[in-house]
Order: sequence, then structure tokens, then C-alpha cells
Amino acid sequence: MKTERSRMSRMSVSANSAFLMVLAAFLIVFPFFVSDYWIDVCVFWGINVLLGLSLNIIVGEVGLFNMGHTAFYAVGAYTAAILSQRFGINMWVLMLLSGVAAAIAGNVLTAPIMHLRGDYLLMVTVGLNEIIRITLINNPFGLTGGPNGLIVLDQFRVFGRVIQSPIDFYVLVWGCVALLLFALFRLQRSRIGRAWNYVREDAVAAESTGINTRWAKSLAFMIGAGIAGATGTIYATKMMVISPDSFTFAASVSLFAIVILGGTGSIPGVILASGAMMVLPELMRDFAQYRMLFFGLAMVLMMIFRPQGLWPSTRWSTRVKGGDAE
Amino acid sequence: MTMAGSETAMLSLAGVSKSFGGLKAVSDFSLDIAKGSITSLIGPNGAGKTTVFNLITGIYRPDSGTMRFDGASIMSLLPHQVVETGIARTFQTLRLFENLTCFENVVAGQHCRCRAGFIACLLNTAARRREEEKAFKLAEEALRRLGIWQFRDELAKNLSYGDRRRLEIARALATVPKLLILDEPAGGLNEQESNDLMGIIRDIRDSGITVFLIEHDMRVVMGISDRVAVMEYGRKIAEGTPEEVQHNPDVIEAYLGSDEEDDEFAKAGEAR
Repeated sequence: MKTERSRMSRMSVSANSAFLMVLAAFLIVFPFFVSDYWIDVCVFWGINVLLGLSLNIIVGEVGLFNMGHTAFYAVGAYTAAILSQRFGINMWVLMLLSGVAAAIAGNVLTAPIMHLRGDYLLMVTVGLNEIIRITLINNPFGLTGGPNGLIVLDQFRVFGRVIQSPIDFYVLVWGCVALLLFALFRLQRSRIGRAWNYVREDAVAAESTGINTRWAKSLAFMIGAGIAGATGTIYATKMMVISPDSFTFAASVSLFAIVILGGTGSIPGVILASGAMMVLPELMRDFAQYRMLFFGLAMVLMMIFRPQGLWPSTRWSTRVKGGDAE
Repeated sequence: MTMAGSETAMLSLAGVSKSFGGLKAVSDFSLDIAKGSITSLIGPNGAGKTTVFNLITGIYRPDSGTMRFDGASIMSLLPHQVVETGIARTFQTLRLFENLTCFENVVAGQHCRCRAGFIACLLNTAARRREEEKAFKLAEEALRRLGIWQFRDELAKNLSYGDRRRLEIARALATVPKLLILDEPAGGLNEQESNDLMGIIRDIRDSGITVFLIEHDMRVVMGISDRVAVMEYGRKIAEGTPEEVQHNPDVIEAYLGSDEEDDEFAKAGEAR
């Protein structure tokens, strides 16, 4: 039985792993041929991949429509900035702490709304995003610096080397992506990943089959928020200035679009879509005033011709091919 | 009314009531289900049978009464906790994980028997792998038992109706239940399929699992049940062996108004 199973999953996984290998090869070669400017573009691509993958856990794996994911990203970035300013804590420690802070926020803030479904949840998470952003603007206890935001002077250090240049950040960000991919791979193939999918498919049936759906949802929100928060630390050190303007509703919408356009639940899809969202606008700088027009057009065309996303999740399609195998 | 003593009862409901607004869906319902038996719950549409199931499985909370399973109260448990104590169920309208494979559907039943948490899954510990291997083994057994092992990598939505019914039973069995609750398992099945189903249900009972089912197909009910309880307007109006129930005047009246039902009873009697 074991060989049968692994043969099946190998079929569906092979396309994904081919994609990841091509991507890895590209990312290794790429920096040798381009300017710092394009390396920077890829740093932000990587940051968006981290955010997209974290949101994909919530939206893709569990099917919870969260359109306020930037809130957790903001919690992480501000936690890192505030603690760095006040206590000068090491950035690696802060990355962990801001991840934990965002995970706690993810758990506490979504606890009262966990029972909501579909578009109802979506509306409330939009509100959540706005509440966090406005709170940041209001400068509670003089912590967040109001509309001007905060300056982050400290940087990540590796054996005395300061991570500063575009290529340093490039390695840091894509290294984090690799780690995250490995972790997601493990989770997807465990009872936790399966429980998430059962909840997405039919929450009532999942509950009646012995799955604590509330636990599964909370866990997804905590992990997703935690990763977004840790990513916020990277963003804060990269930008050196963070302000509420970086954590708008529009940013949440584009993250949500990344997950949906990529192909809900699909890791290659998220990577491709966030690349498209980051890189295409850069390529079209000359047509900057038409950018949103193109974006809107692309959205409409996608929904008409490829509603399943750029790279649909293999879980939802490829396995069918092997169904008759005995 | 109760025949089996509470010591030998797997499930014991006493005075259970549930109202929705002004509607008394279930009122003062009592029933003991003996260990190792097949008990059927029958009654006209809207009699409250499925509500009883939903009360047992924790989807609804009863307004009053007591429910004990295997010696412990299950009054305040959430649905997934009810499953953990050993009650598995199927739904009248199938509720499968349509876009997942049959194997994945059935492995779901083992979720509550496994313990690996976030860290264990991340580190892929030996304990996690052992536990998963066992879960896969049990899922395989359940699929084989229902005769749908060949569809293990097929998506649930691609199966025929009869096989989907089997898949749902396999998923319930994978939770390793002490009591299996089936909501109209023969609904929509043809004669051959429901004959097979009767064999499966008997097998399940013979393997030591108590079975409690709602069914409209009188041939199935009279063919496999050790005990039959009859509901009408949220109340239990009769209980007994299939023969007793068939000749109970209250039951005949509940089902009357239509000669067809009478015929069905008669036919079922002959089939036995």
C-alpha cells in the first residue's frame, strides 16, 4: 500500500518539484547578471512570497477568507521596530519575538470571529486590518510614532557581517522562503495539513469525523499570522522606516489576489503570482499611469479564462489521473 | 419501555427533549441501545429521527433529559469529542470531502486517534511516523472492508452514488467506534446495493460494533434489526422486535392513510 501511495503522490509532486528546482536554479544564477536594482525587486518579490505563503495557509489550506492579513504583518514589523528601538534586542531574536507576537495577535483577534464563514469572515478581517492601521496612526502610548512611523537602525548580523546590501537581503529573504517551503511541505503531509483540508472541504463533516475544527482554524491563523509577523521584521530592517502607509487595506487585497490568482492552495502558484505582482509593474514603469488598468484587465481575463489560477493546486487536480491504478 | 438494563446499554437516552422555537422536534424521548445490537429508528418524515441523531452526536444540545454513552454522560460534548468517545456517524445527505481522495477521506477518521502536534509534525518525529503508519493501516482496513479499496486514489466526487455511501461508512469506521450511527444508509440504493449493505451492517455488528440506524426501507429495517423504535411527532410511539413493531396498532396507524405502507410492512414480513 505504501508504495502505491507514494507513487501517486510522486506523480502530482513531480511537477511542483520541477518548478521549485527551476526556480532555485534561476535564483542562484540571476544575481550574477543583473544590477542591484533588480536584486532589490527580487527581495520584495521574496517578501511577498513569504506573505503569500503565510496567507495561503489560511485561505488555501483551510479556506478561511482573510482579507486583512497585512494586520499581522504590521504587528510583526512594529513589534520588531519598537523592541529594537527601546531595548536594542538582536534582530534574529526579534524576528522570533515578532513572529510570536503576531501569532498571539492572530489567535486573540480571530478567536471571536472564528465561527464566521466565507464572505462574512472576509468583511470582518477587512475591519481588523483597518483597526490595526488606525491604531498605529493614533500612536497609542507614544509607541508607534503615529503617521510618521518608526525608524529601525539595527540590522541583522551574521558573524559580525551586517546584512545591508541588496544581495545580503536577497540571500536572507530567499533563505527564509526555502525554510518556509520545507516547513509547509512537512505540515501538508501531516495530520495537521490533512485536518486543514478537511475543514476547507466540509467543516460539519470534519467536526463529525472527530476533527476539532476550531483548533484547526486557530492553528492556521496562528501559523499564518506568525510567519507574516516574522516577515515584518525583515521588511522593517530592509526599509529602515515603517509607517502605517505600508499596511493598508490595498496591500491586504493584493496579497489576497496573489493567493487566488496563483491557484488557491498552490505553493508554485503563490510564487508565480507574487512574482507577477512585483515584477510586471517594474517592467511596465514606462506605462505607470496605466498600471492599474492593466492590473484590472489581467484580473478580469484570469477570472474568465483561468479561474483555477496560474498554477492550480495539484491536490485538486493531478491526482485524478492515477485514480484507476490498482 | 426500556428492555436492556442500563449496565448492558451502549447508549442510553432518557427524557430527551429539543425544541426549535415553538416546534417540539423531540419530546421526552427515551431509548436504550443494547451493546452489540442493531437498532433501527423509523417513523414518518419529520418525526424527529435525524434530530435525535444530531442530539446524540453533539450537533444540537438537548433542552432536557440525559444521554449516557458507555457509562459516561455525553450531554456537554462537542461533536468531535463525541467521536473521540466512540460514536461515529454518517449523514442522510452525504457529506464527503469531495475534492480529496477516498483514502484521504477515510484517514480523516483516524485524526482524533492521533496526537502529533505542530512541533512533532514539523520535525517529523518517529512517534508521528509510527502513529501515521497505524492510521493509514486502519484506513486501508476500513476501505477494504467496504470493498472500495480500488478507488483509494480517486476523488470522492468521482465515485458512484452507492460507492459514496460506502465511503462515508468507511470513514466512520476508521474512527474505531463502539457505536456506529447511520442516517438512512440505504437511501437511494437499488435492491442489490441494499442487500450488500445489509451484509455489511451485519458484519460490522458481528465485529463488535453496536449499530443504530435511521431507515425508510422497511425491507432493510425488518431484515437486520434486533430492535426497532418508532417515532412520530417527536415522540417514541413503539419499541420492540421487528415482529412486535409490525403488529403494533399505533405504528400501523402512524404509517397508515396509505395502503402502500401496509403492503411494505407485509412484504418486509415475508422477506424475513
